Amino acid sequence: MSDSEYANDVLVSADWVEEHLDEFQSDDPGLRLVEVDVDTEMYDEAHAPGALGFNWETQLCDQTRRDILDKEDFEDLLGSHGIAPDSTVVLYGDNSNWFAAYTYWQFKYWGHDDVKLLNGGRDYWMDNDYPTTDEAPSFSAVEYDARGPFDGLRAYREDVQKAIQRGIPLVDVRSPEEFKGEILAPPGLQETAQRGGHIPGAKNISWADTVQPDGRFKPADELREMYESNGVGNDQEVIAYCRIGERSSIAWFALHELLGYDDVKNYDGSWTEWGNLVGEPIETGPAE
Amino acid sequence: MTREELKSAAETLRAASEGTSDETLSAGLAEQADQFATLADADRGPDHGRLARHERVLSNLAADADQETADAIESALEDIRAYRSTIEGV
Repeated sequence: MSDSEYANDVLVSADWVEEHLDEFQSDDPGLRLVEVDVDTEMYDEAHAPGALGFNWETQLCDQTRRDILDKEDFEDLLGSHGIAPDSTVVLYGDNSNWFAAYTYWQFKYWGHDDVKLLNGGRDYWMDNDYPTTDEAPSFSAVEYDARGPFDGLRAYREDVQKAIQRGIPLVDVRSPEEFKGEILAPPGLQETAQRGGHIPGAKNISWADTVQPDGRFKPADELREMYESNGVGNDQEVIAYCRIGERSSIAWFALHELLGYDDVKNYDGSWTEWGNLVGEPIETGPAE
Repeated sequence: MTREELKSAAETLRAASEGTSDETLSAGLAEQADQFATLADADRGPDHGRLARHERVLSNLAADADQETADAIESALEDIRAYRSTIEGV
């Protein structure tokens, strides 16, 4: 199904998805394809045949509690779209799979075992002229009971406080300008913080260095070399963060799923939480 | 509709590619110039994720470049950031 060099069979190629398009369009819940976007106009214009369209802001976040979905909402979302607990779900999306990776992480948090990412995301699918349609599928609703939560995948602010004290690696995947505190967010992005900088002791390893120029993930040996040369090995806990938890989901996926690191958490509160906290330390400037 | 910032970035990168004697660097810049020329006139503009990937590629190219070429890359990056400031995101 995917590259065997990775620790887990969680990454599928565009060719593999194309070969299974008939199954993705079937009402049988065995295979489901989901496009996760911020700009859902793109889905409306064209998407892979059989792909459901999820809006990250309105369907995968609880905007009132400023949180991921609670268990009931997660179950409702999947069940109402014909996704069963044993469905093989392939996720892909806009923005270089940022929000698809966030959704993947949320699926794992709630205990959905068989979920995969389409390598390269929507850009790769469209750039290479794979089939598209503007027809949204409709599948029969099914029962969905989530097994989670699996909190070992998620870092809260208390985990970050302990990580600082214990010297546990924090991987800041944002741009160098955000890390140094020169800007609060990339141009055009809305959610920011009162302070610029990074969590004390964090290493700046960009999410963009996990992928090739075409958006597909780098080979396992290159990913391992990149993280290990920065002191991030599989011999201790690792916490990844960014601004709102979406880019860090890419790093979490690379570390935990592709490389098979045992204990990697995504701090989805990320800089919009830490940078706004009263009484918590930050650092500015380049990494030490 | 041409996206002027991306067109400008493409032209800057093209000139930088032609101005350096480092063949590897030149090829990398030419590839980026081609992609930005395409993105400038595409039916739909690139999103933040795609542009962030390009920014990283260009920053890595600049790290191995002479000062003149690095300055040109920074100029292209300024165009790209200007374009990013016009597109929606969360």
